[in-house]
Amino acid sequence: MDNKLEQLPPLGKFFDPFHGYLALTNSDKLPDENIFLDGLKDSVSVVWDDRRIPHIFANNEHDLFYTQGYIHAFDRLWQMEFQVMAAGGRLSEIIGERALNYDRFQRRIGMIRGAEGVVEFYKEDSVMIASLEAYGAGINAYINSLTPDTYPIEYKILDYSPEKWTTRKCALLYMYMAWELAGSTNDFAHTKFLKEYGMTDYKELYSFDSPMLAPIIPKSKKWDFKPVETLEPNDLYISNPYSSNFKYKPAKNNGSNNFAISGDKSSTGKPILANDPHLNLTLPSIWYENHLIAPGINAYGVSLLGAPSVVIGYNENIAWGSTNGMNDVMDFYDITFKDKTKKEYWHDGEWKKTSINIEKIKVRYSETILDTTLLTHHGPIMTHDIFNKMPRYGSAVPEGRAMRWLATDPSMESKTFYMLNKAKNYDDYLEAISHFSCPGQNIIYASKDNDIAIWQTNRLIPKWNLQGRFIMDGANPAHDWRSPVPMNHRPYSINPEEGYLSSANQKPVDSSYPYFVPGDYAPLFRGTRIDNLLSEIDSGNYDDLRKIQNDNKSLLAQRALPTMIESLDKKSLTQDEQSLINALLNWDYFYNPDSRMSILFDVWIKAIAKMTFQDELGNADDDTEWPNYRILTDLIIEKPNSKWFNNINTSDKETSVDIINQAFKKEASQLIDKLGSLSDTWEWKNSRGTDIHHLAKVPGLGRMHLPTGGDWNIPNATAKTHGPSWRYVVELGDKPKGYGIYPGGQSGFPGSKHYDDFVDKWVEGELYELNFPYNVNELDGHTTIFKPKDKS
Amino acid sequence: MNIIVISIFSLLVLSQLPWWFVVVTSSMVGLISRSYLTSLLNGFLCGALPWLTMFFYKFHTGGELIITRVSAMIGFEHWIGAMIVTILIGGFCGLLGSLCAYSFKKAFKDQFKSA
Repeated sequence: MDNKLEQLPPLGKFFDPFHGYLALTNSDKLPDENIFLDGLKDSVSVVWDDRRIPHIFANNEHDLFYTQGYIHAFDRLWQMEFQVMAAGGRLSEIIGERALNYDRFQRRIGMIRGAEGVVEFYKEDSVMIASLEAYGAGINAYINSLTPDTYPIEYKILDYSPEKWTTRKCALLYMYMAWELAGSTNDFAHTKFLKEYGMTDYKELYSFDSPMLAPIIPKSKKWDFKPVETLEPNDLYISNPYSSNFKYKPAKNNGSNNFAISGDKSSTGKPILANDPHLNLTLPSIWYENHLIAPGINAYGVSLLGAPSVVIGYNENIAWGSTNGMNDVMDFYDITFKDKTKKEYWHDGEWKKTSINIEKIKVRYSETILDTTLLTHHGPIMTHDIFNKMPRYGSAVPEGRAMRWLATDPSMESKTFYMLNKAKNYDDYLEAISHFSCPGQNIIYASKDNDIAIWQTNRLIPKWNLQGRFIMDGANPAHDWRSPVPMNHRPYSINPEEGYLSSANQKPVDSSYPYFVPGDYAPLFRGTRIDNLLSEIDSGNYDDLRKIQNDNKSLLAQRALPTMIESLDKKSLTQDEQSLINALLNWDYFYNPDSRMSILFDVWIKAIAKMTFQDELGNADDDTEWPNYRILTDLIIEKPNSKWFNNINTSDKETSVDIINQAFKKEASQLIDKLGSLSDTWEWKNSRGTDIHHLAKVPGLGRMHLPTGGDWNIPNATAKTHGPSWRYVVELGDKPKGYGIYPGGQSGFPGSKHYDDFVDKWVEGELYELNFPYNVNELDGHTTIFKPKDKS
Repeated sequence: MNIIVISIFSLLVLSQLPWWFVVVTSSMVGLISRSYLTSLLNGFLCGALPWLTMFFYKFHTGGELIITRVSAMIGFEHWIGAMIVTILIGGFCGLLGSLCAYSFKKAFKDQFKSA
């Protein structure tokens, strides 16, 4: 009972009411009026407002970030450490051999190598390394104040101790975000498809270009530069198809919205900006709300736990927000080794040497493992040793597959946020985002100077058409990545004539843009709906933008449903089915919490996709990607006799009409069996709803069955486990007015009322008015003075 | 009466000592028990009572929410779930300590008699 047993906590230690989890009772209580800490240069005042948001008033940046680190750890220590342990492939140290393959994978893709490269990069920037070290010193000051009795509850459940924070962990946090947002590829699926069906079918099913596309950068934008040339090979290399157990599928529910209207369209005469990043929803939340005030900085917003500065927020002069660029920044290369030793590989007409990287993986209750990764100039070889399940086609020459991933190239995302926190105008914003590389973001901007702008910050590699959409030839230098394009070649727009800007993970540019910009973009429905709503705003205020964030209209349903209903064989419908159709005909296409038809349309369109593509392409769970819903609706409406509707497992020749009827019959009867006649059980909030799990999926520590509306293809992109992780709106002006909320609470302690106190209001779509005091006396609340120890 | 005195003593010392010390404090009741059955019962009480007392103290001084969440974590909808587990673990440890002490006392006594 003193040791952890499988998934159980150490029972004696954990349930001991003197030292176990009950020792944490009231541990969320805010610090005393005075705290004396080693490492501070001067006194720092922290005022916690009624929502437990810390407003940190410091006299210098060192003390500001030191205190921010201390407070982040005070409320969320376990989360910040666990995230980077997972990112760096160190879970085996906590849970033993079960995590070993996960850890080896994390090491192999280069999470630690990448983080170490980033740290070296930061060491050359005295300002940035100082801020990161100050932040880490604050965390360590908090860790040093703990005893085993006061370790956060997850340490007690998993039975381990916190360790010293290092700058490398800050870098790992950004690697973690890169993996979450840009750690996916469809190269395997696309290669398999191309080999089997050819280029014409590929372009039909996997193109993001469409006359309906409302790109992030308005179509009116002119590109007045000479593009960097690419080295397009004469023939397209087609790799061998295979089946693998690789899980590089994009997380389809990750996404985001941001938008801004100019002063001409706002009631205040100044821009208004809104942002809601859609991520995996967890308790504790990925975000922490805070306000940082020191000479040169007055920034409010949310931070990631484990890095200094505000990541999404505003200051006295500007506001900014991010959406995921969805850029394809991970490519794979076939590698031919000279022999079984794999010491040399073929490239550009010569044998080149591989290098090796050996990592130590500590395993709880077991021996330390040494893991070797082979490295080429493209990147690590992924397909040997434990990940060798791809067939080798009987060749005497061992093959391998190398991965090229932008995230492992050193960059300074943290510097972008540091500079945005201090930015005063558009030039400062430009300088800030120039340091951002991966994961590619659409960073939107608005200022009290009446500018609005958006830039896609992804470090864009010039590629020939379709380069990197398929597994490439690792021997041919024409397939190599080249230097990124100059910053002013990246997609951007400033003060467009439309008077608004937006992004919703769709393709950033139309076909007039001179570079190939591969990505796994969202279908255009969400972005188009947002643009439609923005274009209607005349004299808008924050509430108009908040309503857009909560808008539940599905353009997918609006586009597809009339044809789907029209295609139904009405004579064959039962009475129950006919009543469902009648209800569908009266449906307004809104996925509101009380909508009863969202569930029917949802299962129906999914069944149509499955019946259309599964027979030819296989399960979407394997190394196969089904075309997105925009393509599917194109086929339904414009090509009802497309070959994709034919079920290859029957002798008949099916059309879209057959598939639509079969799908409806099947899903309607299943829904009637499951939910009964039309009643509350059909309402979207009950039939789908949202679950927010604990970060480590500890039962009982999440919030389940939340009555939400929305869906991924809709501006309110709330899904079952993903959704708007931070909704916020800012009205720029002489003094900015901010409103925001995230589905969680400031404290990471599940016994605190502040663990999940924002959740209910978030479900309602409401926002809190954010306090933005300029000095310490402007705000009532609990105040703590952090003082240097030598002044005690 | 002895049980109450020993439980109060446990309550005082366990706040400063590791969780397994409840085995040691409960062994005292084993030494004064007169049969295996009473040593079992008394040991269980001597282990469970201080843990239960502390449990309720924490419950009424801000711990209700975390107790409810931990109950949910182990599959109970009500906070009583965590209370039962606390009683069982504390009681089981006390029982073991008491039983060992009683067995030791009995073996020593029998040895002394036969000598």
